Amino acid sequence: MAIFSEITQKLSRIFLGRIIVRSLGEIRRTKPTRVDTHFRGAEVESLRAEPRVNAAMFVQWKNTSAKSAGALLDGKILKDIRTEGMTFDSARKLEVKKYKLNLKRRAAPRHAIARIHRTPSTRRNRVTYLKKPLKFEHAILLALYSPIFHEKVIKSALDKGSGNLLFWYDNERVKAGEKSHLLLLRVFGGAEPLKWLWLPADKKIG
Amino acid sequence: MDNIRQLLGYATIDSRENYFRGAALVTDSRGIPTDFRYTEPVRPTKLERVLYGNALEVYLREDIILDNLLKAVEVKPSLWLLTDETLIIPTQKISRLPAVAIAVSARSPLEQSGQCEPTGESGVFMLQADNISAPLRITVSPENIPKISQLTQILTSFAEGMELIEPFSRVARALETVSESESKQ
Repeated sequence: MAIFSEITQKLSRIFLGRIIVRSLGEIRRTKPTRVDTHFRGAEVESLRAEPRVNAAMFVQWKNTSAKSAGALLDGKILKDIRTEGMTFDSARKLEVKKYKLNLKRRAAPRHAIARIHRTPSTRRNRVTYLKKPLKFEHAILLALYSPIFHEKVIKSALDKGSGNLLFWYDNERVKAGEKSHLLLLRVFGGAEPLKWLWLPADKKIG
Repeated sequence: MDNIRQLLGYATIDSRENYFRGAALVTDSRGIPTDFRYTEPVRPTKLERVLYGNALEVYLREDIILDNLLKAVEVKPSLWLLTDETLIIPTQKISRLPAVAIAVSARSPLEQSGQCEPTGESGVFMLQADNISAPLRITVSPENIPKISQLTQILTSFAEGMELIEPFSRVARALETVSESESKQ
C-alpha cells in the first residue's frame, strides 16, 4: 500500500496536481456519493385503481342456490366450491324498509302564554331621538323610556350594558292607567345622583 | 280608531344550520300577550335533507312550521308582523290576514308621527310610527300596496302604547329559555 501511495505522489508531481490519482483500495473505502435534494422525495403511485371485481356479468350469485349454480358451472369447478357456514336461499326476498316522513308531527305547536308572561318587556333609550332637548334645573336627562303603563308595572330593572329598561306588567290587573314616559336624570348636588321621573305620555316631549 | 280591541300578531322562525323553530305572539295594544305559541324544534335528518333537497328549508318554514303555528293561534290579530320578508305571502295565504315585514331603519326621524314615505323599492315604505324613534322600514306584498295607509294607521295607533318591534326580542328571549329548559331535560 505504501508503494501505491508513493507512486500516486510521484504521478501527482508529474501532472502538477491537476489529476488526483487514487488507489483502488482507497476508492473502495470512500463512501458512495450521496445526492441530497431540496425537493421532497417523489412517491410514485399507480393512477390505476385497485382491481376489484364486484359482480360477474355472466352470472349473478345473489339469491342463487349452490345446487342451481352447478348447472351454470363446469362440474370440476363446482367440486372446489365450499359453502361451509353459508346458506343460499332462493326464496329469500329483498327487505324494503319503511321510513315515515313525519316533519309535520314534529313541528307541533305548544301553548306557552305563561312563559311569555314571565319574560320581561324592554324599552330602548330614546333620548337620542328627542328633537328638542329637555331641560331640568340642576339635572340632565340620561335616558327616556316610552311608552309604559306605569300603574301596571310590578317590577323593573335597568340593563346597564345595553341601557335598556326591562319591566314586567301585572297581566291580571285590568286597569292599565295612562301611558307614561319614564325619565332617568343625573342630579347635581343632590343626595342621590340618579333620579327616576314619570311623566304623562300625553305631554308632548318629542 | 279603537285600538283596545285590536290585536297585533308577531310571527318568527328561527332557522339555524340544522334547526328550525317557529313562534307566534299576539299582543294587545299595550304589548300584553294574549296568545303565545311555539313549535317543537325540527331537526331534519340526513335522509330527509337528501329527499327534500333544496326545497327542504322552504317546505319546513312555510308548509310545516308557519302553517302549524298560525292555524294553532286562537286569537286572531288585525295583522301579522314579521321580520322575514319572504314570509309575507305565505303568512297571508295561511292566515288570510295582512302581513307586514318590519325593521328599524338607520334613517333620521321623519317630520311627524304617522308619516309614511315610499322608498323607491316596490312595496317598501318608511313609517314614522311615533315622535321619538327612528322610522320603521315596512314591507308589504304587492296586493297590499293600495292599502298602505290603512295598515300604517293600525301600526301608528299601536305605537302609541308599545314599541312596535319590541315583542320580537321578547319572543327570542322566551325561545332561549325554552331551549335552555329542553337542553337540561
